[in-house]
Amino acid sequence: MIAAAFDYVRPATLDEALEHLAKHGEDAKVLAGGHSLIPAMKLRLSQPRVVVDIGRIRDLHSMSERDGKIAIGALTTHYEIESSDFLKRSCPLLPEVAGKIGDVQVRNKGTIGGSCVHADPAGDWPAAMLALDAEFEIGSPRGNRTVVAKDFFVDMLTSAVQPDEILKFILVPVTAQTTAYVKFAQKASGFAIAGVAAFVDKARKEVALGVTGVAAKAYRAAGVEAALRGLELSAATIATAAQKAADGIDPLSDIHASAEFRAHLGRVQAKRALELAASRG
Amino acid sequence: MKVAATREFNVPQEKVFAALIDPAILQKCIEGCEKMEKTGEDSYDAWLKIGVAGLKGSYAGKVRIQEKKPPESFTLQVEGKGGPGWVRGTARIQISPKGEGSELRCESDGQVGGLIAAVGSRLVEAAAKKMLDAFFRNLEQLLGD
Amino acid sequence: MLATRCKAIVDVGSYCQLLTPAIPTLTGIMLCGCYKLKAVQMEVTGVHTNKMSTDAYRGAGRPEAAYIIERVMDLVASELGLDPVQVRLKNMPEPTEFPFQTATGLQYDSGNYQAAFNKARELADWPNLLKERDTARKAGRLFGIGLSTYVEICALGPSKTMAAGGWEWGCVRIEISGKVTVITGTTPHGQGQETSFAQIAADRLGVPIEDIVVLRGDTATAHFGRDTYGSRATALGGTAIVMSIDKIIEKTKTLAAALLKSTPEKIEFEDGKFFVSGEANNELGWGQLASEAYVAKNLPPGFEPGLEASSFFEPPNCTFPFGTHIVAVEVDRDTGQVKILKYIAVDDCGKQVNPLLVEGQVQGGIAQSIGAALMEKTVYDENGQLLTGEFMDYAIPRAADIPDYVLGSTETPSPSNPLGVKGVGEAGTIGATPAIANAVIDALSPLGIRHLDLPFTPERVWRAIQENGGGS
Repeated sequence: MIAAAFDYVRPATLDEALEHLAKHGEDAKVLAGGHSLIPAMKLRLSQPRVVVDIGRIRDLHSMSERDGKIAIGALTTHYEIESSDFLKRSCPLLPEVAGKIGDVQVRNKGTIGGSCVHADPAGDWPAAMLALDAEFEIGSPRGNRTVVAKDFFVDMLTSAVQPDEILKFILVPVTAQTTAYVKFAQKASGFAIAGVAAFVDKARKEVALGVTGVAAKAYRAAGVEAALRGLELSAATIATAAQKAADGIDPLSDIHASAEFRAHLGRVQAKRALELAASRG
Repeated sequence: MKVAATREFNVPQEKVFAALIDPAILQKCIEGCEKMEKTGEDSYDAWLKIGVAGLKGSYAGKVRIQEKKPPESFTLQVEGKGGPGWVRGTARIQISPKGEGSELRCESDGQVGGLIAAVGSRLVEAAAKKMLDAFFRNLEQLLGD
Repeated sequence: MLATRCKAIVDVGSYCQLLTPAIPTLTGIMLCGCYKLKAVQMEVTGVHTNKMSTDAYRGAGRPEAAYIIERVMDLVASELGLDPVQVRLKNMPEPTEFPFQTATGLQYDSGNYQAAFNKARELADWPNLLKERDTARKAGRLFGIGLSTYVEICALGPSKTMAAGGWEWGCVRIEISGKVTVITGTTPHGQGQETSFAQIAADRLGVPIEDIVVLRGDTATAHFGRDTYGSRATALGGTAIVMSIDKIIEKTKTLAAALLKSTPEKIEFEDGKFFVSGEANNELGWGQLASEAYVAKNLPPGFEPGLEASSFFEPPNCTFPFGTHIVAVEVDRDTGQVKILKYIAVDDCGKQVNPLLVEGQVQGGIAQSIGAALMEKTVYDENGQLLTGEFMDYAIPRAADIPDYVLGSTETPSPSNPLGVKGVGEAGTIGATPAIANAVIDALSPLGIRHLDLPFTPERVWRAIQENGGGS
């Protein structure tokens, strides 16, 4: 199908972009890589009257170190993250996740910022953002603000970014190599039925697990983390703790996987992600 | 697709029942119901804007209150048709006294057809659950006033 | 194996389209597979449902037949504690028994099922494959081997059995330049007859292949044709081309005789040259002969100018390609995912005009079977609402899902046409699904699982494992 008629603007700066959003309110949608928005528009499930293309705002397309963290511009593409030697050294979870998103064409256009703001319940980035306690810098007419990952993913397809705001940067920590992302993909779409991002901190004897695809929004598997706190990681301790990966959430159910199977896969992937992450250092 | 939930309210049974069959309150409880216009006894034309986050569609249809058994139970029927397809839901509402307040049980059965069902089926069940949650949340807020 | 009785309830969708009821009919007539059954009974009930109509897909009823009979052979073997290889070999006709009359009234044109079966097992290194399975099972892995010895019916077909003619039309014209135009009534759209028909013409006429053009797919050019379907284009369309070429060669002998001052009976034709028997250095080529035929100054009395002929080929029978596919799979106990570890296929489509095209067809056919066996499923809800309305929900195989194939072939010529060719367009899809099905069920058999319906989606496989106490 063809999208419903819309007006198109392409601001050169973030301030201009925010002005457009302020002017049009709920009638406007921000366009980054377009690989979530455009399919929805073509199906007419989304019909913005004004599309604000922020793709040329250079400031948001960058990667740098900032106060010991890594600041990734919202417009950085999945491909740029996947192929970044810098990230492979300093935050390897990100290139690993990026390489599992969609396919090559999607990765060339899709952006980490657009993906996070879209907050698809089966998107890959939210799992990693939660596991890393990423911080989200949001440009806003009410004054720029920073939101931590656990407050950023509010609900299915809903992030903390308001309709008149624009995500600017994502701040992630520098980590050891002991991270992993494993994904059980829905065969047709490639989206996660259960995707688990694991961050193992051997020094502190702590783990962080972000789970996507299983519930209406990505979540931290707090039960697994608590079970492993202070423990030496082994096949046995991981297997026992992983059983809690789907605790306290309401698993989604659809034609591809029942709630029961999804929860089970969440536990299986948690175990595999932890084993893989632990084996890397 | 069946979704059910139970909630408790610090409000007596009769008051909850009366609130729910009041079209002004009912309209505010049904999340996304922008307008309801009476067309007959317990029957209304309705305009709904429902969906998930940015993927909302406009539907025009009807809301009907049936099988009224004050102050215990009634059945709510909502149906609408729009660009993205059609929606139809039946909710059996039962209110019973509990302590000083009451307990409301809602058992709903929904159907979805057309484009949203064909391409968005993975979101439909979650969206239905959200609407039910919102129904209770809105009711709670209105009863508290 | 003496007899089979089959009861089929077929969802045909809302209304009958072009071939809707023909599909289960084709299943019925091929239900004996490559076995000497004495009797076959099939009862089909077509049910109209509020869904899209069904019609021919690659294989059109024959994948179903192969799937049914090959599953039955494995079930028989499992029930009686016999080797599935021996159960099949015991029931196959010998090559000398062809043409073979089946219990369903068909005449299988030619076959050597044993040769394809043996070659496949050789390519699969059968004894070591069995050892590999043993080792895997001892380690608690769900490893399975599946077989499919299939036969199928194609190159439809004799006009008496077809709805509106089963013949095919072809035309060949030697142009005044000596180059060749071939026109076919079939419509290749990726099958490659533009190449293979040029090959046939080049070989038979002794003309360089660069000098041949194949036209098709335009009723302004190819006035008649029964088109491309049912793996018929090369067998039937190719034969119409051959018939036309032979008519031209025969006619040209008369012209050559006149020009060489001899008689037609004494003229020989070899490698594109006409010469008097015994006088090989006094020869005429197409260039000269075509020039004479069109300029028409030296034509013998009664000779029609031009070198063009067209023909309708009415096939005496369909053709019956066959083969053996062997598949090894492993099932992940925790996720229900199926991985194809090895894929061996030996297919016999009679004589092969172009082995590359044959291989391409087999590869594509197997890929579609992988889709049918492992992932493709059209889902409707109880109100008839389609839920898999997009390729985001309907999974089709991609390159990464396809294992490396080991492909071989045997060539048992078909007596149904002078080219000896059988079809191959659908053979891959027909042979593959049962092999994959048998492999997955074999992998699950240590858990006591006897059968599982397609597609083998992860949840379906996982539930079967859970219900049989096989979770880890």
